[in-house]
Amino acid sequence: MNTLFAGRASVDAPRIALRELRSARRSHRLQDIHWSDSIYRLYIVFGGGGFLLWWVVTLLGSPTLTERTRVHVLQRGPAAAGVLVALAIGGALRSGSRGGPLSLEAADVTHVMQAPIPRRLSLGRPYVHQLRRGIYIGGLVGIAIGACTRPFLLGSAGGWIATGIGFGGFLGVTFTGVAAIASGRGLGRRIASAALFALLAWALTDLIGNIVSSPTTVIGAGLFFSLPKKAGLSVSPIVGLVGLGGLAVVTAVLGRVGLGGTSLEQAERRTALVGELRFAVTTQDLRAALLLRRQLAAERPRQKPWFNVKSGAGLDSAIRVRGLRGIARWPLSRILRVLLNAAVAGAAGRITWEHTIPLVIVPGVALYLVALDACEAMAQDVDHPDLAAMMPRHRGRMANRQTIVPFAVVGVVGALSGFFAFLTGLTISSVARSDAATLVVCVMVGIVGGLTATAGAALSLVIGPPPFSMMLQTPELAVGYTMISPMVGLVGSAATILWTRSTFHSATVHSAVPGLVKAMTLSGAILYFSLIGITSKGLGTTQR
Amino acid sequence: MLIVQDVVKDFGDLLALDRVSMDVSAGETVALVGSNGAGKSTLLRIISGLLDKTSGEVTVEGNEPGTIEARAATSYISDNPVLYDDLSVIEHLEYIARMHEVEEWEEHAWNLLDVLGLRTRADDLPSRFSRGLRQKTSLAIGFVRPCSLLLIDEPFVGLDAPGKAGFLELVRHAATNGTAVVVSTHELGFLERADGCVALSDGSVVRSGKLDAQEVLALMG
Repeated sequence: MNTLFAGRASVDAPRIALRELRSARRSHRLQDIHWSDSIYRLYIVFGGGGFLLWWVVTLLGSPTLTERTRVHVLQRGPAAAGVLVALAIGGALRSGSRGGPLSLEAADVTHVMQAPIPRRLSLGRPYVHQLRRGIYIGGLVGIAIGACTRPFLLGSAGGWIATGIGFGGFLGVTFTGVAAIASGRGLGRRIASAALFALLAWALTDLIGNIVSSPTTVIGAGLFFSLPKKAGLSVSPIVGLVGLGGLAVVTAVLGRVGLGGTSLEQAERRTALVGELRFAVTTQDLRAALLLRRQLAAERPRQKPWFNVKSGAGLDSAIRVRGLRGIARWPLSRILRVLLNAAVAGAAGRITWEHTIPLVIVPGVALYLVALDACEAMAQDVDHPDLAAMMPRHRGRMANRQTIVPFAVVGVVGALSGFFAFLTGLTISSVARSDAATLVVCVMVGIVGGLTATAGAALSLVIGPPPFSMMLQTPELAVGYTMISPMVGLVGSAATILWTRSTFHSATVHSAVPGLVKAMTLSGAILYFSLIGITSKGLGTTQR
Repeated sequence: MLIVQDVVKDFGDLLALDRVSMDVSAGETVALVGSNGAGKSTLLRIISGLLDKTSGEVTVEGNEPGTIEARAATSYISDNPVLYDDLSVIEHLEYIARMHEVEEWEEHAWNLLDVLGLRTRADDLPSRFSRGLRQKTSLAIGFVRPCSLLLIDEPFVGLDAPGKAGFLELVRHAATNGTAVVVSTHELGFLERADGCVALSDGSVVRSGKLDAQEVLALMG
């Protein structure tokens, strides 16, 4: 018997030592916080929060609920919210299969997790922190959903926001609990992915078939607790909210019990990546954050491409072929994410047309995320500047040519989002239109949004993160700098949607033409100036 | 071919190169030796145009490093393999060759893969390779394009014996065809194959000419 352990006074000793260590560290952290830092944090929180509040309050549309919309919400609302629930639970399973949801400090992984203390105990505190974070993030998402839903469906703004906080908070806890269960049980990635698709397919079956068969549909009904005149809703919202609350409690407890099975290998991997990811976010380096997120998700290019790309003649062809070969190796998860973003962009765009103006930002964000993926070939020349820098080509022109494939790909995705907008309109529109002209308008709006999103994403690669000195001296300017490229990406999509909005309140879709012309002119200008910027700045910067 | 005259690189808190000079003629193979931190990689990166010099002159076939003409003439193989994540080995070779306007690249590329023992891995993604296989891929990329100046930084790191033999064969072949070759290395066995040697210490040239391993070891202390 090892004498060290033989002489141990009590089985609680390590637990007490751990508690004291954490308490001491917390008090050191608190001592290290300077009062000016605290004031600055308050300024950021209240400044940012105030802006968000202003945005929500000022952009809310006038409530107008038509009978047709009300009937659709009563019939399909729970199933639509159930799709969100399925995505959250399936996403949690996938996160858990990759070692989530906890991200520990490197020193904790090395010392605490290897100490002779049950991991269930040593991971308890980080797990509680993660649950709190889940409530916080879920609540924030709930506020956004509640605020955007209220003008669409009438009712009290306070009621919708409170329901959003409750629903989102419960869902956040469920996410953390389910991920912890999956992680503790060592759930395989394939099984987790299969479960995600099964849950999603079941939820979509309910939505499309207008039936109630999936538990996620029952839970989704909770989101409509504040809906006035609820009679006729396919599932009781009280049942949904209580069901979600119960699920949150059960999964949180089971997750806590199963923490002991957390893999040290996964914890160590996540620790390193999450640490880098936080640093990348702090330095507002979008590209680094994207790469690290992919590594966290174990998202790697496919060994075998989906399709072969034949070589052509000439330099431009070499650049195009290189870009297409990158696209041909997109993993399935990225393709599905792109499709999901297209669907989200289309649905949000169409809902903005109908009533909820604050959602105008969503299509641009979704297409911008697609564009960041599509600009991968360019991005890799930013990651490894030596290769591009050594090529005997004008760097700016090379970068310019590299945008061709992303423009084409995101243009197609934008068109697809237009198709989704058309489909969404068939379900929710107050003026049901299923004619070809409406489809054409939707697709055009999607394409314009996709092209400007690509211009923004490509621009983000050539301008890079804000200079470090700017982040230290004028953080507000640094945030503004970081926001330049996303704003370039968003503005085209937002302007197009808002300028064509009147179309769906008038008798004919031809009224969309002036708005489309204005939007295409603006997008053309954005594309032109972005390409000039990309060409003049170029890729393959040296001195790194 | 390559003229380096009184080159200084000052990083502010570190004088990496202090009035370094060297000439390399077409077909000549020069070994660049020195202890860790002597300035070998910095010198190669300045010649390749990836770093700016603080002062001095560098010309590659009469052109400033970093110009399109110099980039067309110079093939630089970094000590840290720089590869794309989503291209296979053969796709890397095709892309780089075509960017250098080599239309008939295929036969040459497959020969390179044979020499370096990479043929069976041609369709694999190097992002999943070991250090040695990534190094071989990086070498193949450096040799697949035409050049008149070949700069190679620490080529032997991670290479197995057949890989080393293949690399030495490629260097010999390139020099025979008139390419000027500069190899930065700690492998003193390479000195026997080099026509000349430049020894750096603390950023300065301490000896140049034909040196043997014993002399270099003595210089490095």
